[in-house]
Order: sequence, then structure tokens, then C-alpha cells
Amino acid sequence: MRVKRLISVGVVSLGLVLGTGLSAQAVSDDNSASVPGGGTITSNIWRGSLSSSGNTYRWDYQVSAVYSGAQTVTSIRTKWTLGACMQNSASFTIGVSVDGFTVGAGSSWTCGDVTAYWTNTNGAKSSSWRSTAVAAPSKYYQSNSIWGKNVARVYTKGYAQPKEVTASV
Amino acid sequence: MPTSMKVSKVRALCAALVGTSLVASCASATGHEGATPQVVTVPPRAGAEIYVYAPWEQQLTSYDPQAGEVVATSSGEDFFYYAFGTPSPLYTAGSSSALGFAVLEVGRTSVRTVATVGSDEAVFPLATDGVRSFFVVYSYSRPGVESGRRIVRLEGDGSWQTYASFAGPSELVDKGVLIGDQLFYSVYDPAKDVHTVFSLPADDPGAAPTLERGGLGSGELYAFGGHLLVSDGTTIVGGPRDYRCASLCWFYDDPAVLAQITTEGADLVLSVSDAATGEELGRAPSVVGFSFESGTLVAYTRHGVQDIDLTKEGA
Repeated sequence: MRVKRLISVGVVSLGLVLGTGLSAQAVSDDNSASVPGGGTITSNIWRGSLSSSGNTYRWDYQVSAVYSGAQTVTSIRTKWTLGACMQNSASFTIGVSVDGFTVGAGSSWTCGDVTAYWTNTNGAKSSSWRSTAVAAPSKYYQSNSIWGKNVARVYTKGYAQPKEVTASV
Repeated sequence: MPTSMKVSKVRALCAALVGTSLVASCASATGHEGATPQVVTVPPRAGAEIYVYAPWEQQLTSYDPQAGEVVATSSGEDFFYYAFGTPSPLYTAGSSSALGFAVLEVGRTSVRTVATVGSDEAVFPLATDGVRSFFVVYSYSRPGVESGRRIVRLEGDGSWQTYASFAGPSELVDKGVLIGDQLFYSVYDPAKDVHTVFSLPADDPGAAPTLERGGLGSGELYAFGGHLLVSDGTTIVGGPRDYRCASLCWFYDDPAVLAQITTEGADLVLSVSDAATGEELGRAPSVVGFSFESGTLVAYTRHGVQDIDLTKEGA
């Protein structure tokens, strides 16, 4: 078995971490869409304000998928991705068993992201996850670079096609 | 219950070879009238990359087995790939809002359009034994408003043979499975929240359906060891033992194993167990997709390719 850590490389830029503008405010987003057969699926994402803990930055976050309607749900899912830009071998994790990412050595800003998944198949009409994202060490996190999106998907009884909707911050 | 039987040849075989980021619609590829929307996408592929179907995502990926990573993924609004529950190179793909559905044959390095349906229809896999392939066609009277469904068999020339038709929202033909020469399929009644299972001879489109089971809580159907397995939504029953598996479950007869994809710790995990004993034979975290190759389950993960030996000797 060959193992390779997945690192999505995105925008690369140069800069310095400043003491201001570190995404200090909590943010949230929600979007809804109609589901085949009736009802709506809503995707929610909330990211708390930045907090500092030792040499790390931390953000609490929560994602959810919520079905509102009369249909019977067979499966409801959340798939969320959080990303940030780091430098000098810093790392970013999102508090799940999925590996985070570590950027290479050097002062160039490198952006990466981590994707995680959760499914409820017990007939529940919602699915959610709450955890904490950590950038370490804090001095190698590029200010205001954290982002996130949540894709909610629902399957209902009798319909082959799922419905998906995305929220992002 | 089926309300009518008819034979139709809806669309001719297109056999449009594709290898680009966008599959030309069957009609536009052959210059026929009534072009379907160009919504079926195939991810770009290059070099040693192969196509891997991602069951959880319901998308087709271009996967680099040497680097062990996904290079590109199909996408689009309400666009998904749909797979049979048993091994087959045939998939359907389309957008539930824009429609433009097609049946595609997906190989390791090629994708071929085999058939299409009308611009007011969607098509989903129902059951296959690798030779005979049945689908469900949804018809729409206007966008988002379904007017009925029908079970069809894809013929070798790309035409459709209708086996059963269903009218209205009280007859939602759902899942199916082929066992020997019998096609089993479930029909969901949303007013009563129950599934009923019927069977039809797979080679007789004019036959009347036979009622097999009623009052089921789930429409999921599986075949294992020549037997019909049903589900209550969380547990599959009817086999040598009960199986805790709600969705994304695959049974294989030789060797007799159950493969399933679940979310564990916010990761996608493929696990394979002995279907007779329940003993876990292997697992692959961060799975993208997999293939079953004579005694070995090849898992394509975000950390590389992992072979799971399904023989007792290798377990």
C-alpha cells in the first residue's frame, strides 16, 4: 500500500502575519433547496471567532444538514471542507480523524484544505458535526485565510436522485 | 402495480466515444434531432490516470494510481452518476434539474455513451447480472413534476424494452435485483410508508408481475447466494445471518463477502467482511472507490491504492 498525504495546493502568495484582521468575528451561512418529492434541504455552516491558545489559533465550527418536509429520509449527509494558508512547515487540522495538512518549509504561503464526512441513516432528518480547527504554530497562519464550506445532501424514500445544497463562510 | 405494457425503442445506440471534459449529447454527437442537454460531464484524464467511480460522492473521478490521489471529479448542479448495486461497467448520469440523462459505459480509461432517454426523462440503474441490465425511467410533465415511471431493459442495440409502467406518486418503483431469471423490484407507497416487492421474468416483457413481499420498511434489495435479501433500513435480512448495513452495501458470492462504505470519525471507510461469519477481512480509510477483482478488493483511497485479500489464506 502506498500512502501519500493529500495536500491541495491553491493560491500562493507572500506576506507577513499581522496582529490585526485574523478572522476574529464569528461567521455563518445557510442555504436551502427544494427536494424531489417535497420539502427542503438546508446546509448550515458556522465558524466561531478566532481564539489563541499557546502558539496555536483555534476556531470552533459547526456544520449541519437539515431536511424539512413530510418525506421519510433514508440518508442525510454533511460533507465539509475547511482550508487555510500557512508557511514554514505549519499545520492545519479540523478536529476529525481525517489527516490535516502540513505545508512545506519556506516562507511562501501555501493553501490547503481538509474534507470530512458524516452520514445519518437512522431516519433522522438532520445530521451535524461540531469540532475545532487548529492552525499551528499561529505565527505561520496567514491572516484572514481560513475558509469553509458545507455540502448537505439528502436521500428520501422512493427517489433515486439526492438533493444537495452548499453553504460557505 | 404496473398499469400498462408496451415496447418502445426510445433512443438509438449512440456509441459516442468520449474522453474530454464534456460528453457531447447522444443526439448532437450523431446529428439527430431532439438534442438532450449537454449536462453529462466526464472528468479530464491523462497519462496513467484511470476512471474510478466514487460511490459516496456519486461522481466519476480521474484517479492517479501511482500518486494515489484524485486528480479530477465530475460535477454540475444536481448532477450525479448512478451505479448498479452489482458489478457493471454501465452507469447513468444526469442532472435531476436539467435532466439530459445518459447511460454510460465506463472503462478504466474510456467512457462511452450507450443510450439516452428523452429530454423530459431521467434514467436510473435498477438491476443487472452483467448481461441483462434493467433501469427505471422517470418521466416529467414539467420541470420537477414527475408523471410516472417505467421499468425498462436496455437491449444490445441501445433501444429500450419496457417491462412495467407505473403512474402517479403512489407507485414509486425504487430498487431492484436480478436473481437467476427473475427481476425483483420494490415499489414505495409514500401514503402508507411501505414498500412492496414484486417479481417479473427477466426475459418476458409481457408477463404479469408476482407479489413477493409486502409491508417492508425499506426498498433496499440484495442478492446473495441465490437468495433475495431485504432491509428494514438498518439491517439486511434473509441471508445466512443478519447484516448491519443501511446503504452503500455490496454482496459478492465468490468469495462470499459484504463490502460497505460508512462514515467513521468523519472519514469515509470501506470495510469488507466474511458474509458467512461476519469476520472483518480488511478496511480502507479515506476511500474514494473500489473494484472487485477475483479474490481481491482493490480500494482507491486518498492515500494510495490498497489491495484487500479476500481469501482466508490472505486474511
